[in-house]
Amino acid sequence: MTTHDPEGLGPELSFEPDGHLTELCLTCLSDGELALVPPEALAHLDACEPCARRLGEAALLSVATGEALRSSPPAAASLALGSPAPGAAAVPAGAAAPRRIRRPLPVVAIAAALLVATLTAGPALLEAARELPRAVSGVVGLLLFAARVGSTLLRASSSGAGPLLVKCVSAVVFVVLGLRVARARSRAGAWQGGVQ
Amino acid sequence: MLQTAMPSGERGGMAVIAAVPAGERGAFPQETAALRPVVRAVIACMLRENRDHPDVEDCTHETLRRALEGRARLREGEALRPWLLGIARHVAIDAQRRRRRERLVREPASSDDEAEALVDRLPDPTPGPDERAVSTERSRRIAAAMEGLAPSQRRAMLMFHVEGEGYQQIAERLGVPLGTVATWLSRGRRSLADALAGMVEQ
Repeated sequence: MTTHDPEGLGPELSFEPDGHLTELCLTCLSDGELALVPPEALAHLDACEPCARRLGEAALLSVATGEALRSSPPAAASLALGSPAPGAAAVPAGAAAPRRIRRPLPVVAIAAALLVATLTAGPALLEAARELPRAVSGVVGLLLFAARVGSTLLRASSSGAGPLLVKCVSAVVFVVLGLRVARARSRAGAWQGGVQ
Repeated sequence: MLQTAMPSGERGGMAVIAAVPAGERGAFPQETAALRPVVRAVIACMLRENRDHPDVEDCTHETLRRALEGRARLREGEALRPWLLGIARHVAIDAQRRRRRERLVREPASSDDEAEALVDRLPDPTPGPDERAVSTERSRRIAAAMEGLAPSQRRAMLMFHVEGEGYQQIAERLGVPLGTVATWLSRGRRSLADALAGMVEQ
């Protein structure tokens, strides 16, 4: 049992002068808004076959309208804007294609997100700043080591150890070329349909 | 009877619900059964019969059965009412076709009837260029009809039919009485129906 909403339809809006239900009342019933309809209207519908037929028509119209609006891109697009179809009047009558909607940039939301991100990352940034000297000294040490290796190799080549250096470089070149050939072969196998 | 009592015609719906395993029952069967009067009205309207006609009763029962069996197809957030009424419409169309076939068996068929029956048996083809053109024209008319509505009325139509809001939410969001929402929807649908009426006749 549903209770009649005081904001709902009164008898004068629910019944035609001939005693049948109004289209407005049938619209509410077909949409399931029973609380808006007075109990007398429900009782009438129960006994009146023509009104039941019209209720069926109203329900079919409701379903067809929903399908039509959902399948109509301009209608859905105007809803997506969140305002009462702005710019709808600017669309020429022949334009049925969906319009691209330019949404304004959410500047406030972006600024708030950046602020939150900065505050959240604050402790990690402070930690990183504290670790910075140690990281710098590590990089400097690495550079010194590389320079020492280079100078040693240069000194070795100038003191008659040149053939050893040439052998090392040749070995490295061969290994690199071998890897390139193997990689090219496996890629060609994959293009032909898999590993053979 | 609508909501207030359960007449004899409603027993079929309860039988369908009773057929659902107890563990799988939730609000869905009850919500579906509550929509039974509208389903019956839709089917009676499409079959052009009274609500107590056996075919109407059979189709209503079949609609509820299909709904309960296929409820997994109801997507999250999709409104139950249009989905269920869509099933009712398909069931009624099937019944209409069945009636036509039975009539053809009983009565000697003319060549036109035979051709019609043959067309009924053909599967629905994919939309061709002419159908796409009709679809474009339909979209244009819908857009034009919607533009003809007042902004608040247009918004109410979209909120109800696209967003799936109820009358109460629409009234609160737009700051209007419930009766106004009902009036806007009723007139808005009529406007759309009038705008598309010519296409049905074509």
